[in-house]
Amino acid sequence: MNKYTTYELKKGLTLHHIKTDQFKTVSVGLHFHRPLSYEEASKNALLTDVMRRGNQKFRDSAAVSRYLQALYGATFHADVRRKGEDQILSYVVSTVADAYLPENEACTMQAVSFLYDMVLCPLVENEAFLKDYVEQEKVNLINDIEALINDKRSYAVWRLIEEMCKNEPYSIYELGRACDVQAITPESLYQQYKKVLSESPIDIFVTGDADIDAIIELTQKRFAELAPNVATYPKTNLHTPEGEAREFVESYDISQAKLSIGFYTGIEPSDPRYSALMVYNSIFGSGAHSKLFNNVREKLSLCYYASSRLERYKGMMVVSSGIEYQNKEKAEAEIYAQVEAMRKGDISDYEFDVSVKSIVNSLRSLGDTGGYLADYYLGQAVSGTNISLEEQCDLILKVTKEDVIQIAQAIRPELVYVMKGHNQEVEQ
Amino acid sequence: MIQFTKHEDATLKECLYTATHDSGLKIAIMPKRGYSKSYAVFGTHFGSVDNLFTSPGKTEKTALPDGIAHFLEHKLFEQPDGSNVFESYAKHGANANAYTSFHVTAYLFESTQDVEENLGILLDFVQKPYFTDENVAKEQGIIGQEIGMYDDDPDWQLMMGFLGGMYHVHPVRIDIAGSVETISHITKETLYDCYHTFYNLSNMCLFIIGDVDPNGLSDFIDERLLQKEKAEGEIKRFYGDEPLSVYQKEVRKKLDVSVPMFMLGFKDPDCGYNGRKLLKKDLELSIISELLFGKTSELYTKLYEGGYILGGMDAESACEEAYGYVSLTGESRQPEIVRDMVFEGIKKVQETGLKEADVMRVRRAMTGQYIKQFNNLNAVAHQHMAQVFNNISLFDFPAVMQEITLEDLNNRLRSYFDPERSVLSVIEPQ
Repeated sequence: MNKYTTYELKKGLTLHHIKTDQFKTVSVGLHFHRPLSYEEASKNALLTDVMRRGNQKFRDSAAVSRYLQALYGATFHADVRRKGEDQILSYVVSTVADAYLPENEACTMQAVSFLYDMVLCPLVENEAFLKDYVEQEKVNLINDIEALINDKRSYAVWRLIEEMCKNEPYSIYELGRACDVQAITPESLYQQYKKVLSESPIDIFVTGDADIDAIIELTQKRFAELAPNVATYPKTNLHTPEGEAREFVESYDISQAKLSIGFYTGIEPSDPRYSALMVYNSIFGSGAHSKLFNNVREKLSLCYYASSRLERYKGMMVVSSGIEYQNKEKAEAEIYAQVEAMRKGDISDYEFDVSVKSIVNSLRSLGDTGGYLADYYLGQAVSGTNISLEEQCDLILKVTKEDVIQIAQAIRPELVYVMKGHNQEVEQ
Repeated sequence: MIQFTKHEDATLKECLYTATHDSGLKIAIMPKRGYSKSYAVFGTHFGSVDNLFTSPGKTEKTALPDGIAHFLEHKLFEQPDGSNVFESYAKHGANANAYTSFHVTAYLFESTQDVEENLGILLDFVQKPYFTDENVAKEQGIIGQEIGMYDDDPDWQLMMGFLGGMYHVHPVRIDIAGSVETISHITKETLYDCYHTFYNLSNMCLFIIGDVDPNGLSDFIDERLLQKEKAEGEIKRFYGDEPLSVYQKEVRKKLDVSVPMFMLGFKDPDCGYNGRKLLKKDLELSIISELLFGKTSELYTKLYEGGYILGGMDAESACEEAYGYVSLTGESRQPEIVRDMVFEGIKKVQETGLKEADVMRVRRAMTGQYIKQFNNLNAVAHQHMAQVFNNISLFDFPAVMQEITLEDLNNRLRSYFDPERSVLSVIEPQ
């Protein structure tokens, strides 16, 4: 079991310790929170890419890598992720815990120092990042943005969300747009760096068996000059639904068509009904016990996959499936039939019980992976819910079938997205 | 009765318990205190490459339709009493899955409760096949869909193009799932034949990792194994007479991708053994690849900073008894130039040789990775399944690593990487 403690080091700077000797590693992640916007999204993404390349001490990737190799293969990652409409710049170092190293060897404090060097002492000259690095990473970032299309399964879900939330920041990809990347200069990127450093709430997560007092002391020393003024996280607004459900179709060069359907739930993580929504989603479409899997896939062989997932922060649920295009009408009708069954309370004891068990199993399993555990608590901090893993399990176990049927009344389809092959038509 | 032998790795502070059951089943259990989850996998040494064989005690060869191991995996979930395996698992809070690779078929579950019940389900259904004409026909539809998905998957197509270029005859060049045409030849009779040959317990292994006690489980497992004696004879597998040369040096395919993807690789000229010797080669190639192609290398820096590769490049080695290769995967607008630069970069290092200080640093990094790997139960189980039939143990790493000398590395570096034995596979945008 782990013990979770939070230390408010100063306004806007919080250190979280997930203490456990379960893992062979110690991971330290530093996260800046920014409001998701076109103005900043690409700059923040590029910032993590450029900063990863080096710092004042290790001036290129090769030098950084040599240092990490010598630290028994410590790893360092910097990237952006999003939680709702909060774009998070994350810098994470992970190293073998000192207890597992040969005698007289220790890596943890060196790894933490390295992390703080990467974040606080970037390679900057004359108020600008290095031009070569900026230009190289711009090309890579544009490439990454354009690569979104490569995996059609996830792209079909992304296109749905983009269209569904087209008037909300949630439709902004966490890497931003190619045109915004083009416009960034080494100088403007440095201005963004200063802004991120001085205007963002910061969370530091330490996961594993480490000397936390020493880490706190080092953190206070290294962040003494820095005073983030903002202590509140960027706010995510619930999705505003449109009136009538509608459909849109696009064609790509694919043989297997995709059918995605977006639903409005209107329930945010802080809502007391959220746990019941999780159970609803599990019964309806999450896993091999679910209605979608058993009816759309198994019983009717209408698709290779069909599942649902919650867009946790936005009050939305998304169904994703891969189908033969000629089966589109049948598959769609069957998905709605399952929504209707949920609404009517047509839920067996078996479906209910195994859904609850499945969620509890997933939550407890999550505690076995340090990275997921830290990400779980980061998510709790962002949504302001601060529910521990065990508490969340208890809440799930308290949900009743009636609670789930209540949820089912609120859920309604809003948008259907069909991705088909260029020459595919419905047979008349 | 199952008598476990305890193996300990003092640095890792981990123990592995192994035993061979009377039926020949290889059992291994690794207790992980502090973890909520347990993970079990029951697998057979039967993958997509096993398409020509003789059954124990027989002399005539049997040829199988492509994709049958994967098909059998899907069908094994069908039960004689009509019960649904996923339902039985779900009642005990378990998440179940299965996969077929080139070499193994594996059935697994993970759960944070009721480990014994779930293990019972796993052992039970894998030992009870039930194939009918109807359930075979239905599966042909479902797998047809799955194959359609692989056809659109650029990563998979890139790799299959690569393997198809590298091998003249070895069946690793054939898609694991087969094709709609080949699976149409599968009948319940061929499935039963395969099952009786390859799902004999002497051709299988069981691995459990998590919050479990090996001795507490031994009777439970023993009682549920239907076969009590080891089968006579061995399965003989035939992979064809593979030449040293590659089949095609360049393979191209067009798909809906934003930039070209490439996979460039070298064919292993030194195959035909397993066990620690194979692991030693694998580790040698990991060290060499890191120094030739990793972020600290001159070659990588040139490729990356020159914009020849976009976003990075992954080096991987495959080391099997019958074949092997080292591959580089990435995205590039000029894959042919990348290939030329890679050849040139390798040649330069082959001339000077690797340096002791660099090798030492990479050894430290690999030692760290070895330790870290034991954080992840799924990864450990996967690693075990990939190595057990090659007679490699999870704890072999430290001893084998120590055996490797600088001379071994420089010899391997010079004998392995030959541009004449290279393949470039490219997925181009339409």
